[in-house]
Amino acid sequence: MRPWILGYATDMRGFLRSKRARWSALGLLFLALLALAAPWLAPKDPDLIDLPRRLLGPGSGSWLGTDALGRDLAARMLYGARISLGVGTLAVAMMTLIGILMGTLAGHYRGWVDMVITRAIDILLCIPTFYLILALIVLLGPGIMNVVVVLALTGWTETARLVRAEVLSLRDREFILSARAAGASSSRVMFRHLIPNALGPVYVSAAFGVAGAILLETGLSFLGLGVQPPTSSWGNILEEGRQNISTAWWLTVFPGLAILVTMLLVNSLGESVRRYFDSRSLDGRHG
Amino acid sequence: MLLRYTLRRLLITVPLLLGISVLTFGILHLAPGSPVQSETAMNPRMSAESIRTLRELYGMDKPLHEQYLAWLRRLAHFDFGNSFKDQRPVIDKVMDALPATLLLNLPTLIFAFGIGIPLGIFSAARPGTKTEKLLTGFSFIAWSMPAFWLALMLQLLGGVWLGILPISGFSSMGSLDLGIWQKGLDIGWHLVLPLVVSSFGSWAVVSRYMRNSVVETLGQDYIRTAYAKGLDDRQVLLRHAMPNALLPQITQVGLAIGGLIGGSVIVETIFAWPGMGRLAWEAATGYDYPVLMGVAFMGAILTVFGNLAADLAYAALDPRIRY
Repeated sequence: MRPWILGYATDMRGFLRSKRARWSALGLLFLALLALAAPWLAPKDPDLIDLPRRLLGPGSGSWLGTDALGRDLAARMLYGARISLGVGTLAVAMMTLIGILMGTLAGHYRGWVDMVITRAIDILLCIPTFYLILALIVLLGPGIMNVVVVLALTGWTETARLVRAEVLSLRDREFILSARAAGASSSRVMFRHLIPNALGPVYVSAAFGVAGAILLETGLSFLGLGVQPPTSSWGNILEEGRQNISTAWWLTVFPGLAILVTMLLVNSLGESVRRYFDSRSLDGRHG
Repeated sequence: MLLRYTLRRLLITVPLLLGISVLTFGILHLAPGSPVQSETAMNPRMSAESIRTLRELYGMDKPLHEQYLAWLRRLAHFDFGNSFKDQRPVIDKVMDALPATLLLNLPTLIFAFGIGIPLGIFSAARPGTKTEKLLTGFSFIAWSMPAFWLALMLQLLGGVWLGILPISGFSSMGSLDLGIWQKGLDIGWHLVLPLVVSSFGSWAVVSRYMRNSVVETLGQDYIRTAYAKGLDDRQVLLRHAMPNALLPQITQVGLAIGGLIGGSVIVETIFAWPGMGRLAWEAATGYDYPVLMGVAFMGAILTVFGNLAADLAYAALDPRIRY
């Protein structure tokens, strides 16, 4: 018998057939490898303070220059990549799980469960997200894990709405009815039949979600409310760069370029995922 | 009929506002003087006195439902208490910051939609041309651009390297002595960079949405009818497709308000623009809970009524909607 967990493995054959998907996936893989290999690639210890060598431009003995404390910018950016990419991915993984759970509960049970969850989503959508994030961050205190938790707690609503809509359209289909008729419990119907079939739009929103989460983390760290120095994130490197913007352009140009390139790659991958699922649903899979 | 719809739509906002009041109450309840006290006790900026003030302010010695009702009564009067920092009433601080926020965000809305909509129409009308591909590529970059980095780059370029634009603040030193026109010009000059940054990403979003909307409209039957009676592309596009393609944008304007208000935290902080976003940031870095919740609540109110206004406008303009 086919193991049930395979129901969750969406058929992605053909996804890499598009040039855009191949290139953006390759680029992101490269970035991830750079981040993982930071301890071996970094020319110096990212936290090593070397005051005589402060604010040196790119080239002069260090690839991308040094910051106001003489720390090596390239090394800090490599280590910062681990934080920024890691926080973004982890936050999206968490928010997607919460969203799937909430959306499935609402769509499957309907009635008051649905009303409570939908109302909660409506309320969360009314408060400007960034204010809510600020309030929660102040409550929990800044720091890497807290940023992940806060992003997940404020970002699950879109996934939940998508999954709820999918589940509502699936729940009266024959295969669900026959599972019920065969005596499957509610949780079995949800976890083995509904969720695996409701994941299509989730992949799309998760892919774009990573871009959003990275932007929010770097933004928060830039504002001094996210990842705290000396741990480097692309956001707090930029903030330190801002303080020396008139004398050391490299401290703002390079970390920002890193964020921009990452955004372009992630959004491009998201776009490929969307086109892939759009073209598949045209083939009548959902019809 | 529109009156009945308006009343029904207003009724929906009641549970929303109640929900927002519960959420803000919950966050304030968890603030110092409660479970997270051990965390904040370490924070030197949170003095014992301000913790006591907070406890008394929100009546934390009383039962929970009484506390909530008291909070609700205060919200109804826009009474969020006093700021920890300077003891001024929060509502005064928010009201001082509101004009600057509106001065930044209303032109941003006009800019975002005024540029995004024509771009979207163009992309839909001329697919596959060189200009269209260039525009699509450009909006993809604009969409991916981190606003705070764009702000820094513009400060570097316009302020530091070229030295032509003021890189921060609301007005120049000594502008108090200027005449009313010069004062306006001075503020407008300071508005340039924040405005570009806060509307930049929205062009991409608006134009993409508009393009899809136009493409969808062009596939409708009545468009074929319009062609069949001999109209040219231009007439079909502008007279027949446009009105229907523009309608969904009204909802988008409503939805954009919340995003803009929240997003202006970063833009206002970087450009030292004295609006609600910067107030929120100052409150967050100074653990000034009453101010932070006051700003969040006012932001939510603006969002709720922005959406309400958009829905009503949509209902009034779209004759297909019947109640």
